[in-house]
Amino acid sequence: MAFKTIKRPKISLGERFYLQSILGGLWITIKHLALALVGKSRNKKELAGSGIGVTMQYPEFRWDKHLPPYYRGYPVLVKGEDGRERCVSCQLCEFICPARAITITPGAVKEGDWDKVEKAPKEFEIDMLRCIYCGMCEEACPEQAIFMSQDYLLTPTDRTQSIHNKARLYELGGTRKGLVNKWNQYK
Amino acid sequence: MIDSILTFCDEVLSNPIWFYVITLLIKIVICFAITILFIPICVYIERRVAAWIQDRVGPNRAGIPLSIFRRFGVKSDLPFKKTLDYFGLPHDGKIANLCRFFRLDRDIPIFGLVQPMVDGGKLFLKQDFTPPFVRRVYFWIAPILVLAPPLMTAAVIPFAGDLHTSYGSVNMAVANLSVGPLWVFAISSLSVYGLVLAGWSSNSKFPFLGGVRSSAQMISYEISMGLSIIPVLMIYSTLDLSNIVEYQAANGWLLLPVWGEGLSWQRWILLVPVAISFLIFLTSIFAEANRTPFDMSECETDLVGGYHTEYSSMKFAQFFMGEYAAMVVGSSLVITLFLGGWSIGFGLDGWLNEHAANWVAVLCQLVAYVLKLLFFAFFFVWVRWTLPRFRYDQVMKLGWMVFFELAVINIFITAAILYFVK
Amino acid sequence: MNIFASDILFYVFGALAVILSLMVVFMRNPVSSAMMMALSFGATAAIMIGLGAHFLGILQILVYAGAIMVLFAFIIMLLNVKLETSPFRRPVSVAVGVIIAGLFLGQLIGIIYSLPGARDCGRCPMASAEQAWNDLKIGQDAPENHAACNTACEQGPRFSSYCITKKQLDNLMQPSSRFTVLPPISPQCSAERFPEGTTIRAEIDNGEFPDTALLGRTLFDKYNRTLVIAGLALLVASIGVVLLSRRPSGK
Repeated sequence: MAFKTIKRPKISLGERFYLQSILGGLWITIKHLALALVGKSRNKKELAGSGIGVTMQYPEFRWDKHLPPYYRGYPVLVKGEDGRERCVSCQLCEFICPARAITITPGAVKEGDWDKVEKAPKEFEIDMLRCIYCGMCEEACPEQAIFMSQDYLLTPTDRTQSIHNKARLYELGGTRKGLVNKWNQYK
Repeated sequence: MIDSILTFCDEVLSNPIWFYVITLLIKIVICFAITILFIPICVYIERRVAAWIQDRVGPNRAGIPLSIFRRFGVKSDLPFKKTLDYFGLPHDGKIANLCRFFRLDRDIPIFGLVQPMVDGGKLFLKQDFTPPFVRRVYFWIAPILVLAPPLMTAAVIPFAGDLHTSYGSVNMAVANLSVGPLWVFAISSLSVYGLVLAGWSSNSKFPFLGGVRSSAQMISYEISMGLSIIPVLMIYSTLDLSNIVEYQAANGWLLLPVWGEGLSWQRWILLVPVAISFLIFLTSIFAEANRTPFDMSECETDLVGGYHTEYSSMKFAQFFMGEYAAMVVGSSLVITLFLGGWSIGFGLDGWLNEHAANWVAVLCQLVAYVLKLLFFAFFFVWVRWTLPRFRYDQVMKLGWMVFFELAVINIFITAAILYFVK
Repeated sequence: MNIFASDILFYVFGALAVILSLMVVFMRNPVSSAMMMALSFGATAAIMIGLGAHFLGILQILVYAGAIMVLFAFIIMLLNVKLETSPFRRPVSVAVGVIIAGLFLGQLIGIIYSLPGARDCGRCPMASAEQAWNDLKIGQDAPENHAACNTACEQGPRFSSYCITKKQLDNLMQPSSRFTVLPPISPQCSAERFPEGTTIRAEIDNGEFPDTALLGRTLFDKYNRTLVIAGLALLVASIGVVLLSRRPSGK
């Protein structure tokens, strides 16, 4: 039971009136106001603010360059360098998705070089109204097929647009280089 | 024709009763306009200053909506392609260039000043939802009871000096009662009914707690507010707000006695009790207007939304309008009692009366009054974003155990000074 | 005779006050009763303001409607008093109510009879203007006051009737005007009661009705002792409340 007793700070008589601390607080806030008014808010450079405050003027200026590598934008499906769609429709992402946003309809692979893969999604839908951007699909995927992109701008004008189908997901994902290649024509 | 109209006006104005009625109506319009207009202005100042204090930009997006033209063209190539085509204008002509120069494809944000209007419009258009479990009559009366008292109290505050016309002189307060400050206290104390009824009639527990809290708080602070200005009224020895302001215009504001008789050392000794009353009174005004260090009745962290949780649309907005109107009236009372009301100060009132036309002086005084009000609107916001909200027991303790005693002691101090020094 | 706006409003607000007071009793919901009571205080205050006693009227609103009724509403809501459903009332409580009402009525009648001129004329005190007139020292003995009063009343528009003119008086004196309006009181006429240099005198000379100063003078002169005793009683009561509401210090 190692705990430490912390003494309450003793407040002197002058401090008990709180007038000094109130005035100090007022001074701090007015300082911030004055700096914002002349366009010299603190940290405006670091936060890419517009001068009047540190707020970034969003549609004109974007946060994109400052996004950390682990940023989770909307999920997308990717193709490999060889142009193969990497999803094998194992449905792990569908099962792990906590918001149940993903719906996969499995189908067979077309005849060709990748026959051994056996399965590919016939349809792959992500309901972006349900997606919570948790990134668990990316973690669960054994094929490096689904990724959280760095993009966050999704502005559907009606509800049907916000359900991304397979074509849309591949369009958003594109090709990705440097992925582990588990499949070729021999295995 | 014009002559006959002029003579008719002259005849009407020469009749003292008609003169009284007409000037009264004009005064009501001015007074009401100042109070009502200050509500959106306060909202704007609130949002702007709050943003600046927090290193944000504040409302700056809502503007004159020229972006509707964008519908007729794609922004990437030429903003107005289709609009120009529609009117049969060339794409590189002067008009197109002008449009491009003035960036007419976007909203023109005039410092976000459109924001309050848009807010108002939004509130009018929102669904006015009455929950099925409320007590209907009181639920509907409550917002009115919050907004009406502050608007009524504005009537006794003189917003400019006397205007002398050829038909007679006009006192620039809608109702020049001989009991000005008491009228303000009496009527503004009624606005607590709105909060209590809103809380009770909502028939749900958080609004109810908000209503109960606010009634206790308002009563507590009314006492210290009433007691705190007794020293001030003892110094003025009148309850007539017009006389109070005229005295200050001639002899120095109560808090700033640096001209006229104010230079005497007695006035400087009196500054001690006056400063105490000023502090108590100002704080009580904050409590009465339910502003932030004291907004116990709508404290989101413990009460969801407080007494207006069940309200929506314009009924909800009326509570806020009431709060801002109470803020305006409260600050105008502070200004009138302590900071010279409409007087410009520094002996300039007398100078203006001598060297300029009477209406110029009155206009300048009106401007001075409005400027002081604007400062106080700013001050309210400034304090709001500086001081954290009190705990409820702290509010009660401050009201009953500090301010009440301090105000009573202050009365005796003032009486002693007035008796021994003057 | 001249009818002032305030004369009509007197009856309007009087009727309102009576109706609202009855509503206080007949309302089922205690909160509604409290609200009706606040409104009836408002109507009473309006009557006082109409009679020129601004200070008293404002105090009525400030103290009763603004503070006491709010406390009432507060307590009703806090204790969650239920709607009154049973029509049955115990005879004892009815009897006590009647007795208290009777006592108040008796006091009211006593006050009316003590009004100036009430006993002498033996008529409705409202019409007994003659005695009131004499009390205010504008009888036949002081015609110059009379004249001053008349001129004062003819100056400028007055929406509240502080003054009474000679014509009004003559009207009032007629036997036909048995139930007529209360004679408005002119402060100018009783100015000489108050010595030169006092606030009251100065205000009267300005043509104002010095209700605040008069009230203060009455309270602190005539009823000073009663006022101090009442204040002490309140102080004792509040100290008692503090003591009662204090938690036992042992725990």
